[in-house]
Amino acid sequence: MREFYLGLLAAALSAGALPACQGEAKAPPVPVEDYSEGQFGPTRPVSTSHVETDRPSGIRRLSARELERSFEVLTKTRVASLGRLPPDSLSFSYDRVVDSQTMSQAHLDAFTDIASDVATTLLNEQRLAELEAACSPAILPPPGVSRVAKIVGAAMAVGPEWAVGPDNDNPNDLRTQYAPDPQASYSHAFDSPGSYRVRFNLTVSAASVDKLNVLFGGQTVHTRQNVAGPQVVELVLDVKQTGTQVIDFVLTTEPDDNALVVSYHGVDIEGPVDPGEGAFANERAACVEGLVGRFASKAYRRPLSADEQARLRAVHASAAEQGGYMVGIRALLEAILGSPHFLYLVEVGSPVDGLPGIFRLSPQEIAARLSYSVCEEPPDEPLAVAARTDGLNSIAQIEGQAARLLAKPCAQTSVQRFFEQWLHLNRLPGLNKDPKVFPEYTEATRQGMLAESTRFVNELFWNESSTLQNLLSANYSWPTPETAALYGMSVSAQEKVTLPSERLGILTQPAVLALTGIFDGTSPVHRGVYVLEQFLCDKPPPPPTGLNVIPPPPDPNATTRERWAQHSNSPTCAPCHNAIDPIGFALEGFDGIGRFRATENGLSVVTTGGIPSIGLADGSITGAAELTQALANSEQVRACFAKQWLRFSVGRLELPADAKSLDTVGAKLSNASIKDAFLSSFTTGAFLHRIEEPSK
Amino acid sequence: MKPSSRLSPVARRTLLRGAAGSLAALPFFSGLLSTVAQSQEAPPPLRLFVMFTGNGQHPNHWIPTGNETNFTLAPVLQPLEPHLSDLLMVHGMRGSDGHSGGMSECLTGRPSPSGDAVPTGGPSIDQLLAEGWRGQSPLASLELGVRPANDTVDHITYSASGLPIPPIGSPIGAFDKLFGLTNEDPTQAEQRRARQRSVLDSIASDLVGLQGQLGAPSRTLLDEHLTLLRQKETELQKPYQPLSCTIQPNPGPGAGIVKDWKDQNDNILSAFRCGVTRVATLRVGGWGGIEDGDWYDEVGVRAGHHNADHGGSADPYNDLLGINRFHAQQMAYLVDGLAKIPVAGGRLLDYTLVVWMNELGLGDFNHHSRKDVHVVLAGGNKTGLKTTGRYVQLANEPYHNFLVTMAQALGRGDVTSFGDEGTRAISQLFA
Repeated sequence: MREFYLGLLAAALSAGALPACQGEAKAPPVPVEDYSEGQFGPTRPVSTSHVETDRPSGIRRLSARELERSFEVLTKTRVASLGRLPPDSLSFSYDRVVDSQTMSQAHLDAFTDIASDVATTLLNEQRLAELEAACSPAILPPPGVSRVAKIVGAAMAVGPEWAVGPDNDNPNDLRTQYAPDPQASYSHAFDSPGSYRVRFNLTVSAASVDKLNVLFGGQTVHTRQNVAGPQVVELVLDVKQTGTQVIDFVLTTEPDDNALVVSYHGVDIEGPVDPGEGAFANERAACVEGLVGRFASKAYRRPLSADEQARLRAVHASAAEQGGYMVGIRALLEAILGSPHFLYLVEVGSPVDGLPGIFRLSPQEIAARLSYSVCEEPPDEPLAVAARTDGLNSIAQIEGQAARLLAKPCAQTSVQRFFEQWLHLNRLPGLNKDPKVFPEYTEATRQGMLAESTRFVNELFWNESSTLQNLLSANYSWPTPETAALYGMSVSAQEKVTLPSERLGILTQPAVLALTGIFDGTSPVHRGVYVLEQFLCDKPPPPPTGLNVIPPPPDPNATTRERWAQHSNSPTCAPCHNAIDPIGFALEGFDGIGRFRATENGLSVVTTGGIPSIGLADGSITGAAELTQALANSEQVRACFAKQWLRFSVGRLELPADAKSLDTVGAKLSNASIKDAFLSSFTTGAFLHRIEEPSK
Repeated sequence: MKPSSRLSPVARRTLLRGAAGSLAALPFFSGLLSTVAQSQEAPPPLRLFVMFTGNGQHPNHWIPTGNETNFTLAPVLQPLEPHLSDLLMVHGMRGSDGHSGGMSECLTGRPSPSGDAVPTGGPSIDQLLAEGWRGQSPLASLELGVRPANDTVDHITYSASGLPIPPIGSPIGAFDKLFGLTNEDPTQAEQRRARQRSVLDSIASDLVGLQGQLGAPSRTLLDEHLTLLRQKETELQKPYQPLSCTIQPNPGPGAGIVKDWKDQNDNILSAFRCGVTRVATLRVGGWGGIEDGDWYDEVGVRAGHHNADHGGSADPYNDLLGINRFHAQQMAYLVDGLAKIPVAGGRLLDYTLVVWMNELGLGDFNHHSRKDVHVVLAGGNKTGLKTTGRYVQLANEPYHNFLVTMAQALGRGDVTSFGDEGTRAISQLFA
């Protein structure tokens, strides 16, 4: 029953004709009356065989990549401690699929460390004003906790050496005698930048000092004339950077007075002190308000409720009471950057009448989903403004924003990352081959493979407005000198060339063929499973329980295909492998690093095969070119690609209610560019709603 | 000149304990504090260490020749020869099949039904024990890894809510976690904790607010987040009680499998010695072990573990032997370390049950079966298990009974069933 009405909803949403409306900002983007059941036809069921009921679903965490970008955008800070997050699971190819996410102590520790590190960086570098203009360094106390270091005279470096001795009155002091121009220094480790109060305590006797210069970093920062008797020389140092720096106290008598005796009692260094204490109360309150209001709204990607704001103010107040204003600011930043509203893509939405489990996203939620789909980063200012001001209430407005985002450089990165993850190109850097079998597979070759396939998908997507069909069957590519050598060609630089006739499309590129090969050869099974999972969304079941999986042993007198033939002869293996192996057999014309081959071990390679799951029986096609043409023309491939994009863009596995939305994108793929199909996805029901599966 | 015994702070860092926990639970420090010295008469509480490596074992490499008490170790286990009198080798247990079924079954007793290892329910036995002992040590449990893979299919340990718990793969990261509070000034520590309490309070309120807005199926991760946060809050409510324990030097950056593994072992040894935790797991790779062919170059094997196990490397029999012998050496290093830590009433090894397990059982190349599941136990003779240099061959014993056995040996007599099939402890394993 549930699937029925979800299907109905999906049908309604994919119909797409949303009127532009001029309502309030909170007005739903889709009028409720569009959901009346009578308007929708039956829907094609979506296979749920791979959707495991115990997996988490629903609200997803931002991926490590999305977090990295979010911190960069929000705080202009590159966060080294992001590496402490456990790596994102790639179980469903993409690093952001909620169904493969987990939450653990290691995550919680990492989130705490990351927020703390960002706060430390922002405070120490005095960059709060970049987050919130009201927080200018001029009105803020120094970032560090003020401390007093009391250094005794005996711990100072005093010279000239021949004149230095202990002070008989006080063992903690030093004394110089008979030196007319003595000098004392101290190297202090400054924990943080800011103002430091320095008190130099000395007694001058038997003569008077004409001039006492205080040098910091070699520059004179303070001068005192006529010093005699017990004295405290007090000054304020402006410390620009942390670390150990030297303070020199240089005394001179004029003319040289050899009678001079100086006792050095020590120096106190206090700081960083707050020069504006009590002076900037209003400005500092405004800084807190700005962080609680504007900055937190950016971080949460929506305005905060009054309660939420009050709670954040309380975080500041309570921490400030303990450790001072800046400790309060640090706590405030940690509370915002550690909040689930920042770390997760929180989507609540509002219920849709008569359709339990379906929630219409708010304009802010749509903006966030859109931005993290296209750019993997928080909404930019125009998008945030649109969300606040009725600018995301119609299909046309959403499409307009999506098209605008897709033209930004960030979209190029994210689209490339989608293709890398879909095609498993992201696994190429860790791919090893047996150097005895493939001495040509060097680091340069591996990089060339990646460079070619990356260039290929980018050129097709952005510059050629290519269809999915063309991605799978283009007879040209952009080989590097290394990959051209694998084609038996020669190029001096990466350029567009027509390929030998045995190659068509992405599946026949060396990167993919190497990825789907094994350590020391090819594996029809690996290639077959790859095509089934990534291009046909048809995950083969694992070997039956209890089966001893015995791949054929190496045999120098047989082709790979011959060795694997027993699969189709064994009654246990045949049911599955008859669906898998023929795909791989058709690709046997390429070796484990993607070179064309007519023979293997001196025997002719047979490349007849098929794609039984789309009705092409084994033996009905020959060679890679026919295989890729069949895939390029397959509706199931388009439907699968739509699912792959949904997994990436929405960050979850498909659900039955997505059927019509997937159909919309699949249909678009049959007659429009991949880019236009992506654009069409942003206005489907699946994209504009949250689906909450009932408890199992 | 400085006396040579005065080591730099980095070389001899001192652990400050963050959580309260009872001092009595931590009696075996190296004698830095008088409080510790006084309590050295109390025996330490029991501990569990599970080491996981992938791919099962070739029977010829693993099964000893001889009888229960008089046998010759097979080649993979020979590195454990010096600790023969602390060993118990068991095989002949019946589990599920396949890498993925085995991964989730290892500690939960709930194999995944399909090719995807999916969370099949929690907690795993290590987490069940850790939960029972929560509060008795600063960390309830410690999950470490050597080159751990992190996909859904790669996990062995699961929280009570059934979510997989990923390990810390970087030795220096684990070191920092354990000993990050080193030398923290108590006043500063108290300030930090006060700030964290206020921050966590706010974040917890956010999570509670979301619980009210979202249905249960949408909040799987958020609910777990809140549970973990509450545990941290509880810890921060307790008074700050720094406790010192000298630990090993900072491991520095990673440099290959040999150093990484040793460093993780050292982290575990320090964590156990200092009472940082009572439950630790070390997962090597994921299902199928470490596939990256380069990683075993250091130990003279040029093959990925899974590939070799499938007979797909140049000399699979010897490659597999080389890889698994190296694994046994790592277990021997840890057992040796535990044996050298004196505690009241014996060695720390006597109080620590060490278990080495795989996701596949014994079998020839290419087997993917758990019809003959094997484990190597070491130490823990205070648990009641008879780990005195024995080799026990069971017949068709449900593997899940071994998980019941572990729980009962470690003081959880109330665990009388576990996993899908565990209904009793295996009596032959006890003294």
